[in-house]
Amino acid sequence: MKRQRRLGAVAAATALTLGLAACAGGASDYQSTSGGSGSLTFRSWSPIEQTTQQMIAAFKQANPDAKIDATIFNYPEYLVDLQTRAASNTMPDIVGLQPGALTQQYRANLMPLQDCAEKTWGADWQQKFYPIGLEQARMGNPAGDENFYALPLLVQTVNLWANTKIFEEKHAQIPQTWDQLKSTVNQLKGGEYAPFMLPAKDSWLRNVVFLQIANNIEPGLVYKAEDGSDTWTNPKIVEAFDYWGKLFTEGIAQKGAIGLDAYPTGANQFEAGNAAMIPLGAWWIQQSDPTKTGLPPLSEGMSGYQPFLFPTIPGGAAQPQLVGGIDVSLGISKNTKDPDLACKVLTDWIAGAGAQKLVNTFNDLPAVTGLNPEKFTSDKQQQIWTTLTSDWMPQVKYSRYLKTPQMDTALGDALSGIATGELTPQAAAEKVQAEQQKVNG
Amino acid sequence: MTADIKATPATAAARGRYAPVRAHRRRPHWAHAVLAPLAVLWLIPLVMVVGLSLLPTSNPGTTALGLIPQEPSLGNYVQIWTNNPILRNLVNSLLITVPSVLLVILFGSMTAFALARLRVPLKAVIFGALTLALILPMSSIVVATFKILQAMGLYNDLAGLVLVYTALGLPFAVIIIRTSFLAVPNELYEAAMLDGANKFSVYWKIYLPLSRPALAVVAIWQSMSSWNDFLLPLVTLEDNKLKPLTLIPLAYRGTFLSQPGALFAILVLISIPIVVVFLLVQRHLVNGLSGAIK
Amino acid sequence: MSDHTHHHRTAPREWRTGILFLLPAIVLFGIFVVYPIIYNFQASTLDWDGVNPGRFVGLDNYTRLFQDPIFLTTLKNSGWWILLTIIPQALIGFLLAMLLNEKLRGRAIYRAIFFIPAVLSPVVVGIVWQRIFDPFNGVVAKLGRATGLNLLVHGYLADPKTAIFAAIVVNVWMWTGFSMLFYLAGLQLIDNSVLAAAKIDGAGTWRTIRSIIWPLLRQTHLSLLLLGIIGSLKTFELVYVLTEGGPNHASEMLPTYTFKQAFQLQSVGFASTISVVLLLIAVISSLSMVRAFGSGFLTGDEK
Repeated sequence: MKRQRRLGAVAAATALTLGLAACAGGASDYQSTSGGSGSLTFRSWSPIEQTTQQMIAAFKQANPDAKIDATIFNYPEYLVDLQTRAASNTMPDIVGLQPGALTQQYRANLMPLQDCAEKTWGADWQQKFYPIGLEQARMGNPAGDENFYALPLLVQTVNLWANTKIFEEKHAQIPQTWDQLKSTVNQLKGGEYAPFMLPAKDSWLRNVVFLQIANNIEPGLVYKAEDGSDTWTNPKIVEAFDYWGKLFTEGIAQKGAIGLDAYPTGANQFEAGNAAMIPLGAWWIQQSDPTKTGLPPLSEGMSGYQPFLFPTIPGGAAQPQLVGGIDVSLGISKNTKDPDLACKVLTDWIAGAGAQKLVNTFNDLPAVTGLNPEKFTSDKQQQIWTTLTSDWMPQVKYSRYLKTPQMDTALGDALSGIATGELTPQAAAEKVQAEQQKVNG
Repeated sequence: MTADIKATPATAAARGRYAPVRAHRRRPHWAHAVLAPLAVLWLIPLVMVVGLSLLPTSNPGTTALGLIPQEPSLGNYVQIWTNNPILRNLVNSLLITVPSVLLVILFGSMTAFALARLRVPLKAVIFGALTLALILPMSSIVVATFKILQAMGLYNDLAGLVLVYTALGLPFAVIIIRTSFLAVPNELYEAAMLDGANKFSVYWKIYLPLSRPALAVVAIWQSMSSWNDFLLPLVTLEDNKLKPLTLIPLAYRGTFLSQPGALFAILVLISIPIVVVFLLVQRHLVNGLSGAIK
Repeated sequence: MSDHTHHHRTAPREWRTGILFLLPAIVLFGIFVVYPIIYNFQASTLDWDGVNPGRFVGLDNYTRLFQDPIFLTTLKNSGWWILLTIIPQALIGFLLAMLLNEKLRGRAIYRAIFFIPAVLSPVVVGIVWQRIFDPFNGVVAKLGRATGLNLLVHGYLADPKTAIFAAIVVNVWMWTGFSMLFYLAGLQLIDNSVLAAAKIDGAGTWRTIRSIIWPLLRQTHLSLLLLGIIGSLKTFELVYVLTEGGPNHASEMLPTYTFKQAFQLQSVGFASTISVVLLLIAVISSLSMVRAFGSGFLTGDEK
């Protein structure tokens, strides 16, 4: 009899687990877990925590009753958190999103934002934004779906940065062509620093460097290969893979480049003066954030840095091309309890008082034009800001992302294979093309 | 194992034979010749961890082969301390870790006792199934675990974390404690039963006290695993007031943060309590079993 | 065991106490371990991104996995990891435990030094060792250049042939102190007089250690072996921070691959498949241990 009771208990436990198990693979219905209206949750990996707190404070100054609970954390963990919450009805009201696949994954859980934008900024609201940001915001939408499920918050160019102190000491010129890059690297060799520090452990960094090379060879070609109107095995793309490989084989990148991560180690080395050049992007200007104390000498007012575009490639485009796009965009959960408040917060952070706080920290470039920091700490900082926001950002035509994470991964793997000598440029191109055909179906 | 102890050639008789050895204890200086170089090797990365936590934002340069900052400063610790409610986070971490350690020791030793000394069906199956829990990586089970906690009404509740960590810590505890229980001579068990003691008091009064070294290892392991996990608190806690220490470093690991100083400072701070636990508990790893039985 | 002498018909009564002892563990286990396993298994039959409705695909994910060359790499890496962490950790850990079980000046400090790496966050460990191994600016390379040992000036984490081994070195550094702790606990189960015998210098010491103490620690070895195999199979954070599984998947482990599939590539179905296979490998490993070391290993019964 005792035994039967035990069996009964086991059966009940099994039934419970099986009942729960029915959840895997289903879409979830919403039940709110956060507090009543006037209270919002925000989760993202960007902007950084300290800046987010300033943006919240700015918003609350105008809306004292609002309560915004923000949690900012590392990108990989953010993906886990977002997926878990979306799958269990606890999605935050406002979320940080990357354009393309991530936004598309959550599309069904997100509120279209064009009405909110129009209500806040008027019918011509799109004029406020840099074109590449708006274009990427809808990247991957199904045909005929013109909704904006996310609006860009910060945008960026990807480019190179020089340590001008080293360049001045060595009387070196910032390279504008591939040959100059090689000769400059040779000129700068032998010091305590790397002439061209390539932190190529990170897949995203490999990809953006490659996209700069590829667009300098034949602007726009990779995106055609992506949509199927051309192929990755096009000789011009193979040539781009080849140039990527030359960064390693011709001694341009430092030794062990493929094992060095961009953050924190690579960036930290660059800031410590251990590198003359590094491929990063517009966001590097955040090193000179005047709201922070204790900046290193090179970063103070950007005194030691100069941004420049990836050198032109022989036989390629005459001018270096601008590659970039959205750093982070914001979306609103379809089931938020207080859509009006969420819209108010979102638009405030993109182009209102919160945005001003954000821009004051030089965190990255604003997604809207004409928004500048209230205070510059040096003429050089202002001049760099102007270059980035007025000269470069409006010209960005080419995306720093591919459309799907599968292709981003395949490209990153192929570049890694070339860097370590496991793949020839041709073989790499074929691998990427094979993956592309799989993705395109 | 029980047989091993009895069969040892060096029991009672041997004890007398080797007794004089204990007189000259100060002898093994030669051990330092092995230990010191190894310790130096082990210390190099540790010095670097502490060094980087002292790296000031104003001077990211390092010296001594990159081990220590050019200008060490406590600024990162000050920053961490002023920007975060460290004490509240610490209390939350303790509220998660302490109960889970106690529960895992209690439930784990009960299970170990049943497997080692009691008659239960399907022993091998139970033990084998327990090892399953060891293999599950947190990132693979986080969604499912979240759903269970939600169904149990333990979303945004520290008690939920305690239960999950206890469940996941049980297999380890069972493996370790069982080994130790098996080493307790079976005669003790039989003698106690003949004296009329019930099984629970044999477990509680004889086996548990005799297994202090094993319990120490379990306590350390369980403290480490429930203290250091961040994925589960990240997704199951909503309220900032409930957040444990491990959620602080995530904010200092942003994609574009070039200065690891603050991250290292908070991670060093988080490690300290576990080192203290280790130092307290390792004292139990000194007396041999024979001493304890007598 | 004593129970063997009891009459067969008393078994269910005997079981009652045993089951009461097991009950808390069984309940917790049923809730927090069984369900996630079922969940993973179910998800492994889906083409699913974790958010939107999934599509049932039967065993397609398994077919895809077994044709995936990266899966092979992860198996090979797990094999190396098991082999090259368990043995050095056991040997060094045993040595340390023997030396640090005696009264020795600074014993607690030594124990702490060897143990602290296990306490540190893998994030810190990963970042620091990346700096140590950096062939351009790292400690190892700088030492190599200073001493002319060119062997040291190499990007071990950057070279697909060596990345996994470099990660294993870091892992050994991190976890040897834990093996030491285990052996210390194991040594407490051995009669003091046996240990005293090993202290005598001279020809007998080595023999005592090898033929008496080492065999007496059998249960500790086996526990460490089991934990070592499982710990190796589930290695995640350290590799993720050190190499991200690269270069070009050269140091990929099953959990890092699972993580990438589930959260970066939005293939939760495929990721769950890897988890299920990981689980199966773990079960097979523990079953083979039972075969290899006798069922007494699991049940504690004499053979």
